[in-house]
Amino acid sequence: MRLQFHWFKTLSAAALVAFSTVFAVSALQMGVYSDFGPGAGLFPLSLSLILAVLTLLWLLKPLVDSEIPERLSRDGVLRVVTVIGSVLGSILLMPYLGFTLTSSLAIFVIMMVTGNHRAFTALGLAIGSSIGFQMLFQRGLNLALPVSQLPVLSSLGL
Amino acid sequence: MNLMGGLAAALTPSYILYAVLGTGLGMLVGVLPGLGPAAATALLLPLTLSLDLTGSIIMLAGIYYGSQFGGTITSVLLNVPGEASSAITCLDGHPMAKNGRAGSALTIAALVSAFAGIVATMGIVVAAPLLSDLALRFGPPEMFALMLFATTLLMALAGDSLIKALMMGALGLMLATVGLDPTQGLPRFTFGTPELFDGLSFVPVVMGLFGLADIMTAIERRAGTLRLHKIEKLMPTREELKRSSAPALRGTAIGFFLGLIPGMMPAISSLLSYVAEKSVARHPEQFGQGAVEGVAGPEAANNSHATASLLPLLTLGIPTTPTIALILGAFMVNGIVPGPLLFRDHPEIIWAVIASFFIGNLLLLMWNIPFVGLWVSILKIPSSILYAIIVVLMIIGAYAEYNSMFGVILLFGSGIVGYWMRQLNFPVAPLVLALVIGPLMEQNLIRSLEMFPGDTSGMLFRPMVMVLMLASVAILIYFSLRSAGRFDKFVRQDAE
Repeated sequence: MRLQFHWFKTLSAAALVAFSTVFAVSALQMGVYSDFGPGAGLFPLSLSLILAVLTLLWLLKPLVDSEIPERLSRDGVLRVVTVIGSVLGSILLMPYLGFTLTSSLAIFVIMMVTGNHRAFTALGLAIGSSIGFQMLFQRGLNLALPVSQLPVLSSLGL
Repeated sequence: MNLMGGLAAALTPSYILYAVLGTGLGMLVGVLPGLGPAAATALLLPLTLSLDLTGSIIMLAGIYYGSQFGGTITSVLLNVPGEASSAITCLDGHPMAKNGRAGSALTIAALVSAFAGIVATMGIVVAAPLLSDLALRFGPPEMFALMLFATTLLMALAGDSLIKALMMGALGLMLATVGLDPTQGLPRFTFGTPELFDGLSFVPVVMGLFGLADIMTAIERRAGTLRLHKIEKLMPTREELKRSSAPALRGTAIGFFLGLIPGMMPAISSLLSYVAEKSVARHPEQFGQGAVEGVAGPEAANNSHATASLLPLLTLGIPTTPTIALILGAFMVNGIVPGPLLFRDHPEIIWAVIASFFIGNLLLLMWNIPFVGLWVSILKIPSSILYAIIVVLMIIGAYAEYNSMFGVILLFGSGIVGYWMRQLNFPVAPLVLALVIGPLMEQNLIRSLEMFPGDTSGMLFRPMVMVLMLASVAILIYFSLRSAGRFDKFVRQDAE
């Protein structure tokens, strides 16, 4: 676990340094200082240099046991991936299925994976709460939620 | 317009309704797992565009101090703090519940919290005009130095490691540079995406960093069955009320002064108040066994702290916590910049908001004592249902911010970053505060440099700037040394 976390830390530091470098190069291209005064790149350049230096200092600090998180169980990983997948799935599916169907699906999947519910109960709750949200936000608060691009579904108001 | 005018406005039915909604939502947020006040405020922020500004601020502030109340219920009944600031209440509140005194603990917590909130509001009424008059003398160099000082203090106090807090602060400031640059108004780091021209919206970012990441962290482990203690009698005894009065006063004072310091979280006030009560107690051995003083002091401290922490925002435009940074955002999206000019240019807003704190704290008594059964029944809802519903609510909030899926993509990205930060034990608060304060900080830096072209010494040698800059450096040196000492201790422990 210690070795794995060490690699995770090193990769994270490398990503942060790479991010700072890209930011610094872009800031330099925008101009840092001219005869007219400070340029658009001054503030971002200073910050990206600060972040790069701090990241290197952090990387050089040896690991202490209290920093290393506990290993996750297989079930734990599955539950985290479910939440990530539900949001990602909503991004991909909402333009095609519309809000009500996509959110019903997301609620159903999260409930089934993270709790001990019967499929019928979870489905009922998922559909009921999605319709409730649509009524509240779309009709009550005048917020236009996404509707399906598919003619069959959009004709049903989904 | 003054306090009386503000009170008259705050007592109008529509503003009372906003206060009822805000405090009720705050209670709900405090009780619910996986949804903190920052994520809830972010969720409601897009609504402020279509609602009345004063009413929206009254509601958002109500969520903030209301969540401090709500967190106590889970601390007492479940031994699980709803908010970090209520963690210390578990030590004596839960043993009181085990001894059949859950009702007393909750009523005392509600009474002292309302008392502390009202006293802290009085403190704001007295101090706010004085502080804003002083701040009116600040030019761009002083404002930049003040923001730098506040950000430094916040990073020094956030989390265990100063380096990690500084890294997150720098990252937040970098992300704040996305949008139109303040020198020429040209797009910067927008990659041709029109949605980014106004900068990274902090609504989906905060919901992702706090809400989504918190849920991911919480569901790593399957929740066990909740064992709630019964509430038999709500009214405390006369003896308990008497024993609570002095701790409430001390807690209020501790919370008020610590609340004014940027980066000082309400949990620190609660902890200090608990330590203070234990050190002055005649029977310190009763602490941890259900001592009422251990509930009254910390509860007064965290509510007084939450109310007082709004003072730097209203007078200086400096947010002290992520939730307050979002309240600053609510002002800004409506075209108003909080700070000393707020009292001169928009007294009708500011005094109505301050006056609403009196009403809000009284409303919280109503939410707390007669409705305690409602919160208990909400606690019985399985967390898997709550998490699923909260995720969908966050998707709606993020979508509403841009009226497109771009907000949801931002929510998703921020959620992943927030989860990564938790795995590496990076503090989230510095990133969020830096993201909100960043544009103002850069604007003041650019204006200051333009005031003294080619000679920064003119900016640095102004008395107030020098004091604030030296204080920032001193804070950094002190906390670096302290952090290094702690690190050595860890290494030694590790070696042993």
